[in-house]
Amino acid sequence: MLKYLLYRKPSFIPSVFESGIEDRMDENSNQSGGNKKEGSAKDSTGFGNGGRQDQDGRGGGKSKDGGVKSNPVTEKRFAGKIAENKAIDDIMNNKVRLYPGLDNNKQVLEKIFRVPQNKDPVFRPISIGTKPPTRAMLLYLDGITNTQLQNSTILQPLMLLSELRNVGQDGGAAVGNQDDEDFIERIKEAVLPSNQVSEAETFEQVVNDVLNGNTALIIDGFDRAILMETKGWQYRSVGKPQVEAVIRGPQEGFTELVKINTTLVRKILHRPALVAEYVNAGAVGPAQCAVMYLADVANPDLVKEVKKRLELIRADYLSEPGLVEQMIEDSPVVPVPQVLTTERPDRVAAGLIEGKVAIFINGNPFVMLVPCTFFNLTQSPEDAYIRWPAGSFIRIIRYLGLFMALLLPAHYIAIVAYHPEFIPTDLLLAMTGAREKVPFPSIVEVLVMETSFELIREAGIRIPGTVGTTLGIVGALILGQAAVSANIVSPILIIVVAVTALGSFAIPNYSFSLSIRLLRFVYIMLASVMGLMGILVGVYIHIGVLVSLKSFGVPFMAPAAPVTIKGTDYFMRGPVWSQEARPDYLDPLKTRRQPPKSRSWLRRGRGKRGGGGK
Amino acid sequence: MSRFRPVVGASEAITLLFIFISSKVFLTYTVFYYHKGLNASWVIPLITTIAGVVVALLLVALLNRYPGLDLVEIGEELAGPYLNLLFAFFYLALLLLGAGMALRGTSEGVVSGFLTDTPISLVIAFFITGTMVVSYLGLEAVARTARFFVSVLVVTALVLVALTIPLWHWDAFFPLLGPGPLKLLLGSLNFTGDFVQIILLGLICHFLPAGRIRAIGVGGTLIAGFFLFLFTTVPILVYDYPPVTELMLPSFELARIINMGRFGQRMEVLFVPLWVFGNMIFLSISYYAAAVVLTRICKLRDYRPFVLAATVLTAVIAFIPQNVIQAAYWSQLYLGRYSLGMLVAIILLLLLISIFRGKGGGLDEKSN
Repeated sequence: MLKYLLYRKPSFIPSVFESGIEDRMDENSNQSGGNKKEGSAKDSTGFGNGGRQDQDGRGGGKSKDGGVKSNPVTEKRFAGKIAENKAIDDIMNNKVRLYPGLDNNKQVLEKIFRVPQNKDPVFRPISIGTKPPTRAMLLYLDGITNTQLQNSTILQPLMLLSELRNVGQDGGAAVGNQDDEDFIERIKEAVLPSNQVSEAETFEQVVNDVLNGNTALIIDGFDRAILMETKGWQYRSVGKPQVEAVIRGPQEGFTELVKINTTLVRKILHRPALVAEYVNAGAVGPAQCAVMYLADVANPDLVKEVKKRLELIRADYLSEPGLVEQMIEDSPVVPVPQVLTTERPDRVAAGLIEGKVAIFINGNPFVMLVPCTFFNLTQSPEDAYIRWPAGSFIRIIRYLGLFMALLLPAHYIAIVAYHPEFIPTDLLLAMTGAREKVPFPSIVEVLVMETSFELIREAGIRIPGTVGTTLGIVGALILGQAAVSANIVSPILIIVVAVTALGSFAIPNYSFSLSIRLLRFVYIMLASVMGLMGILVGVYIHIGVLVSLKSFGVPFMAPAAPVTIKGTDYFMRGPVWSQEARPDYLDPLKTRRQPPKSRSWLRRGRGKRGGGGK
Repeated sequence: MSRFRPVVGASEAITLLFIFISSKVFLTYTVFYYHKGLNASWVIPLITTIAGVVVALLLVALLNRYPGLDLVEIGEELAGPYLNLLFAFFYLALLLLGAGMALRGTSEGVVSGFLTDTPISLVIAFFITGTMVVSYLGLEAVARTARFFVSVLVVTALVLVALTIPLWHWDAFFPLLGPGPLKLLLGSLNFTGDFVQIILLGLICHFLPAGRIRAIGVGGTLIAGFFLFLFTTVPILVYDYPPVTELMLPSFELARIINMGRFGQRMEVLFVPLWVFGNMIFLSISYYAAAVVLTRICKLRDYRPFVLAATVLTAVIAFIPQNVIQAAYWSQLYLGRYSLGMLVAIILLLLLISIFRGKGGGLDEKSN
């Protein structure tokens, strides 16, 4: 007793430095008083426990979650609502079992789905045509279910045909007896002709399935529900890839439904070892992710790592691979993508065959392939579809484009501002003559043009298609003619900016192209400070950072640095018959991709270099 | 020593070693050869390479007796903490002095050749920043950066040499042995320190593939010797003796003399990456190695706090000489003339103690 007198549990006192919270509390004290009663009535299902559940005595101070503050005024004002939400979360998180009574279940589910405010959930009471009839209820979300399917495979059999199939208390299991199991089983096996039927025992299972477009059948007297496949939402059909177009090769792109996307890959890879595992990422709006890999090729450690990273994401809502990417990549602060994002099923299939792992996100037509190396980001699927000399040539052009996009404006500044003696005299005279009337230093000139170009590019993406041509006219006039006529920039810079833009368009990966665009400005700044030395120091740091990057444990610059066993398809595109091994850095279960005699139709002793062997 | 145990492959290690040893060919250093070897200075790198290989074999013999330990740890095991402290300070001095002089030489070269209006302090700050970042990222980053750039460096160096072929005067070789065999041999002793950077092998040995340290040491030394030979010989062939003794930066002058018609003038710009990247890799290796030595001295596990310390010390050292000539002279005098002898003395002493005490020790089981 004495210690309670001597010791008083410290209570939280809001600081006066916390953004005027105290004032707001005073101002709203009267208003919040009226809402205190909200949610105070405690019903039979445990909702509305009459106040805040998280009485940690801290009010609106700093929370434990990384210093994110909650507003004490809001908490006080909506205490009842917050308590109700928490109770629902508890039901979901604690996996509370269904009640045997239909009415209780309905009451809880109505609370979970916020009925009557929420108009989408449908609670359809039915009477199963047994003798005597059995009360039941269907639960589904209007708009994302296939109503025809529901009518023909659920309502009709249950209400009209169950007697014919001898299901009921007389002929089958009696409700409330020890043979409950038989009744549910009989309904599943004999009455419901849905292609996928399963059972659920908790509210969380029922709710998640209903949210996915399925229908739940809850029968009075049973503490289980039957879940039936009735997905019927609208989706875009498979169309051409929007970003990764090719001239030769398949013209199919992923769509928004994960099931369709995995099917598109399965259509290419007819392998029983092609595994698709499903993982939910995120808390408030979990994103359904499919992890796809070839079980007999992919390194199990890699698969395990991918699943682990996805499962351990703690975030509200991750609807897009770009968001998931930031959660699972090794070094999110480095402005270089460490995940290959593609919308082409053939590219995913090629990656899976190499031993990579694909991550599909439901609701998005882009699929991630991991691990990803620098060379993956510079390759296009078309490289493989054309003959290898042309493929190699295109890659060289692409590397040239990469170099231009990253370093050409910086080199222009370095040469104009610091090293004019490096260029031949005739060219120097031409450049100097062209810049004679330009009043700005080269750095200003370049920044003006590059920023204008980025502005036009950004506007070009956002502008409605009907007025898109206007942007082209504006851009051409501003960049091409008016700027030169006004002596704001020199004509040579127009060429530099145009070639830089062409270079960046040649980069096949959009994320990578973005990072190059960003880094270009860094190099421009370095060149403006130290000329060529600045660029070289920047390149040195850039390479140093890139070689220490990893993508799911695989060095980003492999197989160049560190040096691993190189195939003929990393820097250049080698002949397809010489690509006998899978990438060494992936450490796949099967290293050999094809036998040494891949062109075995060649006669003995001929075409050794052509994969024919002896 | 660090959060992650780095893994360095054989080719990466050879690259590190040969760039660390041979990057001095891009500075003033080789000019001193010509004063001793006259027109036969090309013999000097051959003799010093042999010396370097011998020292590499001695070092490997010591390292192989204590697998899992580096040179500083072996010194502590064999010579005790106090004497080893002196050894460690010697290693540190080698690395920091070499880095400081190289930093000064490179920066002066940049200022005189490319950025004539830029203060040298800014140039040094840029170099330091770039090299420090890569050193801080660790041995893997340094080794892989070197490996990534090595093809660029080697190809550019060979192109530089190839483009000067029309300017070669073969009669510059004669008299073939210049001042005579004895003077050449004695003169070469002044430059044995070219290969003192072999010490790197002793500091990174436990990150290298087991059983390949000897191949790495000998391979790196021989390749470095080849480039030293090449960049000592070609200026003689192009400029002849004695004009070659007046060159400030022989490799830079080689690039400047290349002329390919009306359009292909001032070709040295194409070879700037060769000098800059070569010396930046040298500096990054130096900082990392110096940080490792400091880590061992302080008996800590993480090298990274010492990278900045090594960088600051290097910058201070770089500004001590009054000019680049003095920096080059000190480099030749203190590093080139005596350093390898002292390193050999330490290695021999440790080997003798090891043989006397018999192989093994408590530290054998200790791995990084």
